[in-house]
Amino acid sequence: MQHAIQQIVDGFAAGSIYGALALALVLVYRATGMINFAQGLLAVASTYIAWTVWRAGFPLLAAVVLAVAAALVLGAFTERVVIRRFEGGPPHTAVVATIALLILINGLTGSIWGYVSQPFPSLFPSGTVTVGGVVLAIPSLATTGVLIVVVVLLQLLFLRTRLGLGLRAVADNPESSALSGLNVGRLLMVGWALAAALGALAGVLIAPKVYLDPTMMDTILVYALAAAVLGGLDSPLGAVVAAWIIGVTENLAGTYIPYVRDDLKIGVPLVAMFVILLTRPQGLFGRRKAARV
Amino acid sequence: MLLAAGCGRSNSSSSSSGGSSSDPGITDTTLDIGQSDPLTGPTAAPGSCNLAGWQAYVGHVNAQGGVKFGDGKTRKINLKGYDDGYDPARALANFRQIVAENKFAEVGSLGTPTNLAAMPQANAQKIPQVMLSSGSTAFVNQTKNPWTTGWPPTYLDEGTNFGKFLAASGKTLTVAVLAQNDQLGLDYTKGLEDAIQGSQVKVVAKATYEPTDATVDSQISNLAQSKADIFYGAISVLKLAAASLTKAQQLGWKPSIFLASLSSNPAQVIVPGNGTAYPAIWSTTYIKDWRNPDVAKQSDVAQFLQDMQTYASNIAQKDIINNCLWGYSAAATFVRALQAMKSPTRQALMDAIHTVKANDIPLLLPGITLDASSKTTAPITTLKIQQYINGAYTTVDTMK
Amino acid sequence: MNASRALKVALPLGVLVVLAIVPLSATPYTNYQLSLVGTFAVAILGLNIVSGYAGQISLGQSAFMGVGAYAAAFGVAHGWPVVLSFVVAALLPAAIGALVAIPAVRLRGNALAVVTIILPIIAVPLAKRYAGVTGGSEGRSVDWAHVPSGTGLEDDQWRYYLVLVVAAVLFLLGRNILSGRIGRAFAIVRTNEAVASAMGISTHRYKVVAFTIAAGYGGAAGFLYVLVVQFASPDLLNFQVTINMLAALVIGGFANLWGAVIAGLFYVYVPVVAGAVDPSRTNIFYGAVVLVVLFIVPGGVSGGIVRLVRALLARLRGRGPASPAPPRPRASGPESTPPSLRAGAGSRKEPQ
Repeated sequence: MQHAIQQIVDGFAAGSIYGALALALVLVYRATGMINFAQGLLAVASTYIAWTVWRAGFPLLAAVVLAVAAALVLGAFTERVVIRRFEGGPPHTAVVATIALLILINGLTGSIWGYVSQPFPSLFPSGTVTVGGVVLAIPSLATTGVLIVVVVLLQLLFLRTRLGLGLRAVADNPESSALSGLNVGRLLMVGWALAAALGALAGVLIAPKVYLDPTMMDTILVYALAAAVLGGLDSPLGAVVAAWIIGVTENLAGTYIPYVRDDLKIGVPLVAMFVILLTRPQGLFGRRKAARV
Repeated sequence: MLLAAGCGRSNSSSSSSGGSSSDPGITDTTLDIGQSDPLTGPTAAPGSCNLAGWQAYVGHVNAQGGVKFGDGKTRKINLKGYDDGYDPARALANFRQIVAENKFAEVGSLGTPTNLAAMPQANAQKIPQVMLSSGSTAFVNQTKNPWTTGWPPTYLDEGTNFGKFLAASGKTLTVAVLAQNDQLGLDYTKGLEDAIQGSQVKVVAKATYEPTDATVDSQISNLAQSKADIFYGAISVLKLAAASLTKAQQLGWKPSIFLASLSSNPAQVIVPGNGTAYPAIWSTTYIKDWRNPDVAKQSDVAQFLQDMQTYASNIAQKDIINNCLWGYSAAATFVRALQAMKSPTRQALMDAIHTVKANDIPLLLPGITLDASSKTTAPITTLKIQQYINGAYTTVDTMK
Repeated sequence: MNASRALKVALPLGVLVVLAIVPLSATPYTNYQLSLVGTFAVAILGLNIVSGYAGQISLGQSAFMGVGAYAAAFGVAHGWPVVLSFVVAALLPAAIGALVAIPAVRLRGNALAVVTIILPIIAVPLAKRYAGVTGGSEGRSVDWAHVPSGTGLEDDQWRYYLVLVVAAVLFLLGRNILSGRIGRAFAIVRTNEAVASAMGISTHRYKVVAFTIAAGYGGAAGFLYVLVVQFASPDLLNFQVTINMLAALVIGGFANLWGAVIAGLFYVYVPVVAGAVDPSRTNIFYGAVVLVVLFIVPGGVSGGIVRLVRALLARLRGRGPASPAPPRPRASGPESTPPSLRAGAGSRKEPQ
């Protein structure tokens, strides 16, 4: 029984990793209507910036703050210079543009910093807390805590602030928003900037556990996409809850279902996601959309 | 280059090239060779290091005026690297490109499915595909594939070597295995299990992981249930090996650790994983531990470090992993063969390789013999066990 | 008028003649690459049918291609007649595609895309597990499709011609399907599902058909892959391959079938050119090229070429002052981009 709880706790920890990136995906989607395949790589690049600053001798917190600031600029720059071109056009083109960014940034980070995995320090004390024989790692607990705070902040942003309202309007209906006087371009830039900053935060939270290298986010991106979609692409809370469900289900399936074992365990939450979406296409917490004729 | 490779179909491209006066890619002063590695993608770290090791050694011999071949001529080596991204179709394309660009041979390429895809073609066209950087047993059968050779000990050999070490201790031991979910992991495990058969050592738990996995927490947690005495890590991904070390101790499970040679690097695995929490850490090895300051002073190691800096500066010294040393050493082995090569033909190269029998190849541990004459084993079959003590590796003969 | 019609006939014929002659003097390396181009063109054509024409994003094409490749390799290893191997290689993935599509196409847009990702993700560990069939992680080498003696050709040329013939047949087949009733139904389903249902078109059925056809093409491409590479391994199944095919498709262009051919050229040759520039930085080059091409012709290269050819023809006919430069490459040409892919109110955020 204790072992099962350990697997569940580890599943939550893994889910928090997926959820951190999923939040950034949700933010971009909510603010610009697009899925950004390059979200993970932007996070990796920002984390490398933090790493470089930290290696130069600066305190970790300062390095992280600088990286988040750099991410804001990177995100805005990417939207303005690269993505803006594709926003009015076919959605497939925009998605492939983000895929191209994924490949390009992967190459750039590898070229600048090399491909060998680097240890990355944690913002939180390493160490564990044992409750009833179940071991919880402090950095994982802290990541989960940060995640919950971010979810609350995002909900506040979208539902209670003018900026959030503007972001949602622009994502939902750019033409009407423009006619209403909103600066569509600026709001899109802000959306991407915030998402990149969130991604940077995810990166520095994740890297201590999975080590920093250009491919750090590749597998996590797939989980994050699944979590975002399962949660309802426009719900931050949904993305995180879905991510936890995925993490826990995966661990339990791998441990207790004899056929599944370790190699197929990734399939279980994904198939479960499929089934859930069939009965609830808008995702766990998403809003139902009507198709306009 | 693209056009040059495209036009001009020559008759000798698909027929035997042994027996002619000289083969493509070799003149009186130069030798052209090619290497296909994953230089981008998830396996880019070992791939780039491998190429860098080769470039370092080749740069070194070229700077000394070249290699004196067995036919008396001194030639410089032109080594060209190609990226296959660990994709077998691209690796085969690279092989064909190497042939179309009239290189003499493909040497030292890293990877298993990639080299497997090119192997039938290399043997059909009688193009040397040698000193491959893979421990797969598929590359050591020279009766079947006479134009292909490996270089490092096989994963099977590594497992057997460690299994014998455990069995020889006479102790009753339980082992928990975390193996990569492919032939590498299977070979490591089989080697271990074969060697401990009938002894007081037993495997009591097994788990697998994918190289692309983000964490192995769940697997370590399951293995920890067994409270085994030994953790056997058939792991090739450095960060996952480190993560295993971190997680196991968090759960209060502190076995003695075995790390595969691919993941025994201290800076990327043992230190970040807080390996000193464990009673012992062993690994199999056949090369010197360059991180040991005393060893670094030895002439071949010092030369290696200098050559890396001069000819392969894209790899920072702190990022040097075992693959760089293996590449350098394999390149040195190749040059030994060149020194025995009696005529400028590909067949002569293969014959020369089979004569290489040496124990003074740079970076190989004393006592490790390289014998490339066998048609059924890799050139290197002996391994030593090393133990990580006080920040460096030392070879040990028996388990304490 | 005559010039245009003459061009319409002469151009494809000319291309065919060139394609038939090239392998006779090209190196085996070039023939291998061109054969791969044909192989991936077929796979990407399948992707084009489901994602371009029918508008259903599929990220699972590499899995279908892999299944086809394994079926072909298995058949060869067990001495099946070649035709049987081909049929199984095409039909097995098609069946899987249909089975998966029946529930899956009830989802839309992003949800459908993410669900299709499941296919390559599960396929890789399954392939490794059932090593008896697939050869496991080290894959399966085959040795077949040698040129019959007496033709005077070599293996690489023979295989090139096989690929050319199969690909040409599949392309013609695709064109007939798409210009017929099925194709028209696809177009309506893609543009506006509510209208389609109102017209009595079973959107569900046609989406499943689209997936099935795409999967079948993927499987056929897998067969061709084993023909050319003589090797099948789990590396073909993985997600990265699908992503690269999708990027190649968008570069090539959805608008017409030639887009898939350009996509195949892109898929095979950009890594080669990148390697020539700098082997350790191939992905920088690749990503940059994709972005640059998208910037210049966001609707895809094939659409851009079509517009260019039209502009030239218009000039030939002397139709007044034609645009002084190649037409501005905005995705606004009526026939160059399928209508639904243009931006419209609400079309960017697809309903889930």
